[in-house]
Amino acid sequence: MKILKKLAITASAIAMMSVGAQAAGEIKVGSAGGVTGPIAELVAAIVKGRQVAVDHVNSSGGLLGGDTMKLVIADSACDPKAAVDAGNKLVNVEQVVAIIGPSCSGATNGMVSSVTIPAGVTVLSDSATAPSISELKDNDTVFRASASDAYQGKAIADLVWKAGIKKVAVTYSNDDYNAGIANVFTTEYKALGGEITGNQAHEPNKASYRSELSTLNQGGPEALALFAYYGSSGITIIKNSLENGLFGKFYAADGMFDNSVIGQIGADNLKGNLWITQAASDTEDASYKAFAEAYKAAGGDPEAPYAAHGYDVAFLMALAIEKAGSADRSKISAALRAVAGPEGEVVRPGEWEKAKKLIAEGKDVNYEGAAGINDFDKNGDVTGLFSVNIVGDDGTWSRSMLK
Amino acid sequence: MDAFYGYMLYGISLATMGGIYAVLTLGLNVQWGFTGLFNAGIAGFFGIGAYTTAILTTAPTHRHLGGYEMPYVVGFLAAMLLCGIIAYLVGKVCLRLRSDYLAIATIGIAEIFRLILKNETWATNGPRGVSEIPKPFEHWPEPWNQFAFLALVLVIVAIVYVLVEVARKSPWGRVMTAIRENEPSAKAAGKNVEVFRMEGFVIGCMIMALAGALMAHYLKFVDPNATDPLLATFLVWVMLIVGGSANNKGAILGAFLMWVVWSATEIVTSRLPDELAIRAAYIRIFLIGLMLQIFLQKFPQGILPEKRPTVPKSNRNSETV
Amino acid sequence: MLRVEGLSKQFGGLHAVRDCSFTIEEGTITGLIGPNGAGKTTTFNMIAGELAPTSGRIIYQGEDIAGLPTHQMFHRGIVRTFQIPHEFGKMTVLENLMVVPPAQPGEHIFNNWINPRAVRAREEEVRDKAETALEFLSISHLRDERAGNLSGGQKKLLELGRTMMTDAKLVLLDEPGAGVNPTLVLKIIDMIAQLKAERGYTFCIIEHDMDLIASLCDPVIVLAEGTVLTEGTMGEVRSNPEVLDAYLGGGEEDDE
Repeated sequence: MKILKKLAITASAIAMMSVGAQAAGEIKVGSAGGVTGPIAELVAAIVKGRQVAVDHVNSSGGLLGGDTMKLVIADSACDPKAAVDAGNKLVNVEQVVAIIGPSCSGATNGMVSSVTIPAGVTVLSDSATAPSISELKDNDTVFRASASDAYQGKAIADLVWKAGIKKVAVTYSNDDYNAGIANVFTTEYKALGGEITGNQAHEPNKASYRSELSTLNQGGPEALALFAYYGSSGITIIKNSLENGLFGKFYAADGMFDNSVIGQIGADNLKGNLWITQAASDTEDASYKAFAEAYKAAGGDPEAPYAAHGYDVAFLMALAIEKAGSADRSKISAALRAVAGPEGEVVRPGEWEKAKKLIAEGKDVNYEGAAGINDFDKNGDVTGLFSVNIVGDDGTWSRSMLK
Repeated sequence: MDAFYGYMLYGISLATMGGIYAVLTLGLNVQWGFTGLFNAGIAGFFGIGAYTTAILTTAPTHRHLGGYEMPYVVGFLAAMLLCGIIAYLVGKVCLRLRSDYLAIATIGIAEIFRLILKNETWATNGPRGVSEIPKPFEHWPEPWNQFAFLALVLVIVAIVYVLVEVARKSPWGRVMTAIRENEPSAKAAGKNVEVFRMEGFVIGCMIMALAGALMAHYLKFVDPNATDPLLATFLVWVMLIVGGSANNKGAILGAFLMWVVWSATEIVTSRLPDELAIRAAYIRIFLIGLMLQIFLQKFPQGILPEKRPTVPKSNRNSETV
Repeated sequence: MLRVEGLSKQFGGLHAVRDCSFTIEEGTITGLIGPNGAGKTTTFNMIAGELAPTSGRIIYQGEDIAGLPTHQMFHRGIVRTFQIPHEFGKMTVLENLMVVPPAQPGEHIFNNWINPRAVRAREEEVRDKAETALEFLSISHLRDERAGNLSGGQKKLLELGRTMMTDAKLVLLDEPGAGVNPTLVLKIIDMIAQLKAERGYTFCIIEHDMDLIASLCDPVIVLAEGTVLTEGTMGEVRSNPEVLDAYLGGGEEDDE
């Protein structure tokens, strides 16, 4: 019983702390992400992107009548159990207006199904890409700024088909993300008329993939569609293929994009042989440039995966709150659709003052994000833009947009 | 929404998760506390329970096996039954091993389960997981749906507690304790140690499956992360050691206490500036490890140590042989 | 009652017991003596089912029981104690005794949930039996003490007490007097004699305390280097020069 009493005291102490911390003129937005767990490194860059956007908002007028926007970090650990707990804290204890994040699809799925949809809190994820999220019955409260895997899988299928390749083998790292892309790729590629000669999952972090690759090489594939993370299996697979003369051409999704791919395999080996699509936005685009400059100034690498998406979700959420005119949960969903476009005057990253003025005048705004055009479809998804990276003559990545 | 209402809802979620962990910890207590079986693969049995009920109770879908829309009760019972059968087969192979080797073997078994759940896409939707799992009372108005689910969890905790507590105090529990304390001597007292160990193992695993099933309905989603050892094996061990191994009240107390520590620390750390808040997330993991260390070193018996029942004296007169 | 024929046990290259044969007659208290390393405890472990013999037979009441598991030996009435007390440390003294009786309905977990009445009735019988044993051993005052807290001598008594909780026929005592003060040894001698007289147990005792052997055992079997050296009354064995040789030139280490 003593212990229970102590517990009660501790709990109420924590409660009082948080009430005390609720400073006047502060609007809280939940920032859920897999801060610990399997993709912690990626999430650090994403969270930084979110914060850069919030800094833009706060340094040029703040929200509504001068309130500051405050991100409350909660660790979803890329695990549904942790994400539900994190979501509960954000919604009930922190009383946030809306939530941006979480990062992983599984965590997002658990958190929205169990917490935010019943509570009517709008969620805007920056990197959850599982197709199943589109299908949730969410009363239009679940959005995302990154394209569903369906879209990237389709983009790669188009790329391969247009290159005149009729037969490919597919291998994917057996995780949530890569399995999803591979799945859509196979469907789309077959629909275009291509033939999949072999389709095999692989476990990451093995020392060698020779046996998997020699199996996949049967049936005369012209290229390997490789869906993996570069560090845990991708580089090893390309090395094994080249060393043993099994595959010469590789098409990959953005999990493979990293400078260490060139560093460890060698630019000469990859020139003309490797295509990596990426859900990044057009670097020539004015929105991206504005973001990249700010992100660099904050000490980050703007090319980090989903950093631009991180920026976009925070900025979009700020616009939505501004548009809603108050920190009212129930108004966020509709406001979010309104500020994302496609109608209205274009607003780009960093242009908070302009946006604030337009909204105050009652005009429509259309945010064109760093990571692409954020026009939500009926499921709250965006189509996204994809680029393709190849190894250029100077031995570094050379990027062009896929149309 | 006013602050009090929010705290109440958060309190409900804390208690619900704490309750589910309490069931899990009671399952481990049957194995480790009563019988001395070092099961380091809790997550595997937990996962089987979660997936079984998920597949049976969801609406029809093309993503994974089933979608049979069965009643919850069927989901729960099937989860326990299937897990019991699997535990029996695992036990046949592994229970002859000495405790530390049993631990290694069960880690391996849990890993096998995880790989199966990940790779048998036709049945489990692979890494994508099973979504849109129904949740009891979810169509009731808020907050009554949450209260009702919490009540369901607490009722199950209470039932499991009563059953295992009766078992612990019974001659069965006495034999279990004897096996844990001194196996050669228990054999010399005519006990078929293999059979008893198997009973403890299977019953413990079935309770773990029940916890897994509850978790699946609570989260409305399950993916192979359910078998992640940090939150489904390691944390459960810490709960039992801190609460008091072989003490069922201790197991429940440890589960609630450690879940509150785990969850509520974030309310404090999220007040820190971003950079620090990200690092502080790791402090939570460190904190759990630290508590385990402190308890193992200073209070190896846990908050509520084991207490064997004293048998009331008989009121017959003294007599000699 | 029990006949050991050509019993051998090999641990790797070590022949702990080799071609050992002897008989334990019903109603006797047979002493098993010999220098350290003679294979006495190994022989016990084979009779009690803890070790399977490498070769040889153990004929008990006309049946070859060599290699059966311990619990089956117990159900045939062969009960053993340990040289180093094997108490259940965290259980109470009373529970240490109550756990022994076989076929208790409460040992089936479901009975406790669905038929608690039958369980309770049997529990009372078992408890009465345990309390009787405690009185016999004069340790009733330790009834609710944790067994792990007992002194060495008290643990030895508890070991003896466990043999009283079942319908034993053959009781194997491994050094009941080791590490026990001389007064208590005398008490234990009395108790063994009394158990034999009142309950009709047959005993086989391993012991280094020659007073205990002399006052209880007939016959005495002498083991040396894993085989039977000689057999007879204590007087005969004592006067045998080979026995003296064996003890003086004896093995290196104790065999437990």
